[in-house]
Amino acid sequence: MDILKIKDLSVGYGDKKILKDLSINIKKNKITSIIGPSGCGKSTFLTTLNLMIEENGGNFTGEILFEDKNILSYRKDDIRKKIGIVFQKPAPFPFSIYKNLTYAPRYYGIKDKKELDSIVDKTLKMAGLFHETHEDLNMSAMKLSGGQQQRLCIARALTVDPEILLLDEPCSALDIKNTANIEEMLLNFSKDYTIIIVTHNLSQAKRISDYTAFMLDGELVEFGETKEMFNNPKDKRTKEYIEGIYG
Amino acid sequence: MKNIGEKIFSTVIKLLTLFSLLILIFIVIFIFKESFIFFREVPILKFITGRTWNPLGDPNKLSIFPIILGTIYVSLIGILIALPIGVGSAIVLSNYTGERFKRYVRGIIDILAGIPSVVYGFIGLLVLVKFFEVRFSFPSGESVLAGGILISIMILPYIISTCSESMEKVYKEYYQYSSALGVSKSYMIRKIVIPESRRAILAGVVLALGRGMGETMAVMMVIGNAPIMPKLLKKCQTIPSLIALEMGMAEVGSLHYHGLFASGFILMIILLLINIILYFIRKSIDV
Amino acid sequence: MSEKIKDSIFKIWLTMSTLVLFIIVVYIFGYIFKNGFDSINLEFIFGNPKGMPLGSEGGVFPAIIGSLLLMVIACIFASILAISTAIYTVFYCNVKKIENIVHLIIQCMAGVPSIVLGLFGYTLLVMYLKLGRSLLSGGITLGIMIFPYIQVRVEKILREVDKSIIESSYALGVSKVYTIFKLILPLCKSDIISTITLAGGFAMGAAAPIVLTAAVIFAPVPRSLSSPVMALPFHLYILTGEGISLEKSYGTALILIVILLIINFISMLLGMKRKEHN
Repeated sequence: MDILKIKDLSVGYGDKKILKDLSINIKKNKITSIIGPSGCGKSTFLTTLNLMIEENGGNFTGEILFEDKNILSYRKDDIRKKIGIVFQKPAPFPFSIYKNLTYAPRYYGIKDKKELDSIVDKTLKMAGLFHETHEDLNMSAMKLSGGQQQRLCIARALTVDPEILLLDEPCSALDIKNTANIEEMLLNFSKDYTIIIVTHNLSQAKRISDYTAFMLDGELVEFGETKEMFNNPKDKRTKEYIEGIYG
Repeated sequence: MKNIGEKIFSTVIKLLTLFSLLILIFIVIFIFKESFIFFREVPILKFITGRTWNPLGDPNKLSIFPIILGTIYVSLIGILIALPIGVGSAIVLSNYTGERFKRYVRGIIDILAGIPSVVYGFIGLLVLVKFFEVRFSFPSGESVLAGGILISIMILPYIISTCSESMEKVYKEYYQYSSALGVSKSYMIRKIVIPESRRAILAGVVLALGRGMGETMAVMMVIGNAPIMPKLLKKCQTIPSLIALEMGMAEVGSLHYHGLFASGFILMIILLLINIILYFIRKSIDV
Repeated sequence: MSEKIKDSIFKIWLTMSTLVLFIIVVYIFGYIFKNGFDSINLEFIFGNPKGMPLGSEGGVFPAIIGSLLLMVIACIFASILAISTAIYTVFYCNVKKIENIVHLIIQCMAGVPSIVLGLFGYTLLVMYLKLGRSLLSGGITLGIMIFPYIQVRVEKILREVDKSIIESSYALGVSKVYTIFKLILPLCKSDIISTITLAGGFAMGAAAPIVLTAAVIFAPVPRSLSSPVMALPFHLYILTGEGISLEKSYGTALILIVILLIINFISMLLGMKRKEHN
C-alpha cells in the first residue's frame, strides 16, 4: 500500500526552483532511501513532506497525498505529528533527557506522570538508548555523546507516535559504530513505521532500504527496488553515479 | 483550542509591539503639541538663530542659538578627548589581551557605563571644577571644557564597545594571513584593522555625539548654565540642562514653559536625525 | 618615518590610552569609596533626612526605597513591551521591511535624550493623564528610557538560540506558542533576566527623567503608586547642587554606587549561569 503519493511536486524559494515535477509513491512500512549528489534537493524534498518548507520561507506546487488525502487538508500540527523528522545535526533540547522526551507529549495533552514515564521508557528502548540512560533521566541531554544525542532525537520524534519517519542524513556526523547502531534500529522500525532516509552513503542505502530513489538537479531520475536499482540501473546517469562513487 | 490560544498570543504580541512603537510617535506628538503654541508666537527660525534667552525680561526674549552651540560644543570637546583614548583602548582590548583579561575589562567598561550621570556630575563639580579654579586660578571652573572632559569619560564605554566589537572580527579574519607574511602585529593593526574598522569608529563617534548632546545631569552640574555664546574656558548652557533647570520654575502654560518644550523639540529632532544616520551606518557595517 | 618608529609611537599611544582608562575607573571608585565611607552608618541607611536645610542631617532611607521601587516599575513596564517586541520581530514578523522599520524606530527611541523623555512624561503622564508627580509616572518614564536597551538585547538573545532546536520543535507538530514558552523562553530565561537587571540599574541611576515626573526633595517611603518619591540620584543632585551637605553627598553617592555594583554583580552571575549550562 502506498502511504504517500506525490504528484508533480515542484518546490522553490521565491523564484529559485529546487525541485521540478517530482512524482513518487512511498510504500507503507518500507524503508525508502533517497540518494544523489549534494545540492540535488534531497533535504528540500524531506522538509516539504512535513510542511517544514513553509517555515523556511519556501513554497510548493503539486500534490502530496498522505493516506489518500491531500496533506494540505490536514492541520499542519497533525501532519507534523504523523510525519516525524530527524535532522542531520543532532539537535537535542538543552534540557534533561526526560524533558526532551515529554516535551511533545505534554503539548498533546498527556499530563499523567505514569503515561509520560511509559512513553519515555518505550521510546528510549526503541532508540536503543534505554540501558545507557535509564539510571539518570534527569541528566542534561547536552552531556550525551553525538551518537547518543542523535538516538535521543530519534526517540523524541517517536514520542508523538508518527506513521512516517523522515531522516535527513542522520549518520553523517557519526562514527561507524554509532552508524551501525542506528541502521540496526531502523531495520527494526520498519515493522511499525514507514521510513524515508536521505543519505549520501550509497552502501548505507544498499544495506538498509527496500526502495531507492536517485535524484539529480532537483529531478527524480530513477526509483525502484534497491537491489534492482543497484544491480541494474536503467538510467545512464544512475549508473554513472553509482559507479562513480564505487570506482 | 490550541489554534485559539495561538491566535490570542500572536494578537497580543502584535498589539504590544505596536504600542511600543507608538510610544515614539506619542513622544514626538506631545512634545510638538506643547512647542507648537510657542512657535506661533516666536517663528522657529528666529528661535534657533536668535542670541538672547531671557525668560524673565519684559517682553521676554526667547531664542537658543548660543545654547544649541553650547550643546554641540561640549559634545565635540568630549569626543575630541574620548576618541583617541577610546579607540586606543578598543585596539588593545580586541587585539592584544587574553580572554580572561578581556572579560575583566569588559566588566569594568560595563560598570563605567552604569555609573549614573549625577555621580559623574558630582565628581566633576568637586574635582574637575575645583581643580581648574585652584590650579589655574580661573575665575570660575565651570566651563565648556569641564563639561567636555566629563562627557568624554561618559562616552568612553560607548566608543570602546562599538569599536572593539568590529575590530575583533577584522582581527580574527586576517590575523593568520597577515602573520604568515611575517609582519609585526602592530603593523597589521595599523594597516588592516584600523582602516577596516573605520565605519565602526564612525558609528561610535555618532553614537557618542548623540549621548553627549542628550546628557543632562552631569553637564548641568559643571558648565555654569549661562546662556551666552560658548567659549572653551567660559560658562555655557546646553539644551538638556536648560530644560532640567528651568522647567521647575516656569509657570505652567507661560511662554517660558512652552519655550522649554520648544527647545526640547529642537533637541529631539537633532537627535532623531543623528540616530537615523547611526542606523544606516550600523546597517552598512552588518552587510 | 620608518615603520619601526611608527610602530613604537603606535604602541605608546595604545599603552597610554589603556592606562588612562584604568586610572579613570580606579580614580572614580577610589574617590567615592574613600570619601563616602565615613558618612555611612546605620542611621544614614535607615533614617529619614533631617535637619535644616533638609538633608543636612539624618539618612536617605526613603530615597533608597524610592529608587528601588522606581526601578521595579520601570523594569516591569519596559520588559513586557520589550520582550513582546523582540518575540514579534524574531518569530512573527516575516516581512523584512517591517523588521527594518521596527529597528529604526527602536534606534530612534534609544536616541531620545532622557530629559526629553522627562518632558514627555510630564505632559502626558503628570499633566494630561493626571497621574501627578508620582512613583507610577516616574517608573513609566524610566521604563520608556530602558525599553530600547532591553529590546535590542533580548532580540539578540532570541536570535542566538540554535535554529535547529527550534526547527526540531516545529517538526514535532508543536505550535509556535508552545515552542516559545516551553523551549525558547526557559532557555533564555537567565540571559533575559540578566539584561533586565542591568537595565534596571540604568533606570535607577537616571535623574533627568524623574526630575519632572516623580522625584521630590522630601517624601516618606511611598505608600501607593500615586505618591511622590525620593530617589537617590535626585537626592544627590539636590544635596550637591544646593550645597546642602558635602558629607551626605558623598554618602549618598557611595550608596548609589554600591547598589548599582550589586545589581551589576547579580546580572553578571545570571549571565554566567547560562554559559555553565551549555
